[in-house]
Amino acid sequence: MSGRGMVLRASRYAVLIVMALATLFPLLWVTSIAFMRSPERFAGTPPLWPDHPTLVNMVNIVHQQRIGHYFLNSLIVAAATTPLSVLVAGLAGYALAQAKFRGHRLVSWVVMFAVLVPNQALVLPLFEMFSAVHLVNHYAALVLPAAANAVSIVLIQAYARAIPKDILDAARIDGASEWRTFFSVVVPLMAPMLAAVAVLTFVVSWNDFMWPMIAMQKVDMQTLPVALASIDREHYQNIGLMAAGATVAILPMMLVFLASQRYYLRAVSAGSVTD
Amino acid sequence: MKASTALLFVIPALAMILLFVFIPLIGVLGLSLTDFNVYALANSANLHFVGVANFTHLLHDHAAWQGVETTMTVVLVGVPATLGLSLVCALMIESIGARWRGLFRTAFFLPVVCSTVAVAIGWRYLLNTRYGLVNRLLAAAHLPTPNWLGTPGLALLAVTVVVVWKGFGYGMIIVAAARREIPDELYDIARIEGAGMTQQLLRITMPMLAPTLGLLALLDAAGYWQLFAEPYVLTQGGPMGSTMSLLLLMYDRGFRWWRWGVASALAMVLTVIMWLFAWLQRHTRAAWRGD
Repeated sequence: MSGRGMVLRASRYAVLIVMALATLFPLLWVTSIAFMRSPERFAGTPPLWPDHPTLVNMVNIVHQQRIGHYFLNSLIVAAATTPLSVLVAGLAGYALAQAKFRGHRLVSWVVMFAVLVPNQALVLPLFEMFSAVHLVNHYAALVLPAAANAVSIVLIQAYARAIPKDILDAARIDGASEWRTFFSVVVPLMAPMLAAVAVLTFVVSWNDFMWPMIAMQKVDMQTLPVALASIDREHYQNIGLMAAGATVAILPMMLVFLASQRYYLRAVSAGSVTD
Repeated sequence: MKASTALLFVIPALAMILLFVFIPLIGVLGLSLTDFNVYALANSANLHFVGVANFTHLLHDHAAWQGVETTMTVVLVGVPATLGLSLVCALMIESIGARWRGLFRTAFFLPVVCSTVAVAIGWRYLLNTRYGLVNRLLAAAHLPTPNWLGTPGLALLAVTVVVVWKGFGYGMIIVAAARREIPDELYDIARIEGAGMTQQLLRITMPMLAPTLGLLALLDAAGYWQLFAEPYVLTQGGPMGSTMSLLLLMYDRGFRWWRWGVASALAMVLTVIMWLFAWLQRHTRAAWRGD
């Protein structure tokens, strides 16, 4: 390799490393502060690394602020939303891709239109609807609207187009019902995309903020981001405590992402090829 | 597949979309034409049809115009910045060996999966005047150390920076996927013809990526129009309403003052702006494809 090529290569890595560190820095720093004993005691900026690592902030956010309780709420909501949403979108996406039926065009149009509606603009009537049926302050208020995910349907539909008709016909000739065919043939074939959509749904549900804040008026029912925002209003001066709270919200999603990167990234890039 | 079974497969999704998207959308439109407020909440006899009065009210409401301006600024500054970062990172990552590619991709993508509320808390400490690292670095370089979140123009800039930081990894993945679709032969031919790196970038890479970038610009914009959690945590819409996005204003009018008529009118304004962008999206993509 020429000298110029080497320099170019090296500088490319240097730029990438600097950018990656700058991107990760806010996340790393907040995690680091979470393990510092009263970071306020420093006259200026807290150090990058805790001098005497401590769990005191974690203990406080768990015991005084009951972060574990909100963590559980978030977990319940995300764990209920994900399978429901994937099942609903999986059935619809598959049928739209592989079947002809009266109203196909209408249904496709409804799905495409739903993609274009800003969900957060709908919170006022949604609140009215859930109040009317006494479901405000119930997990259902967060799970049900999130299960109607038009983007998931579009992603699955695009993927399901590639399923060969022969495989489906073979299953039918063997006498399998459409439901049986779906669960024992179609689902395994669509598994990569279903997994990707599941991870996307889980992360979005976990991080959702505006609607959960409105729908969960009772403190005991709040999800983690909502509780974190309200603890923040009262304790924003307590850097260590808030950093610990932020860390508790961030770390699980980082782990989910790191464990499922392959699927997650596929769902994201699939979004680019979908019309 | 029998048509009746296919319909059964589609019905749950259809019912959910009708119930949680279409009906609320009609509800927003309906509410925006009424004077629904805290009195109507107590007794529906106090509810009146007011026509477009809420919209004409917004026309004369300084806060509404400021909300449109603030949100549009984040879109117009944030989208090109996000797009630029997505593009640069994607091209650099695709140009290095596969061994390290995954590592950098993960680093740039991690902010995307993090809770906005949590990262906004972190950024607020980074930008703090007394113990924030940003000002400490600026001071070390003998540059001015402003009060980022306490100065109107700078607060909006700070919110935009956080939005871009959290969003560019998503676009990077999409651009990188599009870059991999460009056949290597094109570059081989260009090299044989004597085209340099810059020529290859301008004559092959950019034109081939243009449709993806166009789509991405409008996807990012659709997301940024719905700006809410970042200013809610970082600035609560301040100072002097300079970071009050349309949704933050809707939330304020709707759930602090219970003026649902006005809040719904704001929601309709946001929805229509987004549709305008969706229309632009179809239009520009069709133009790119040449039909």
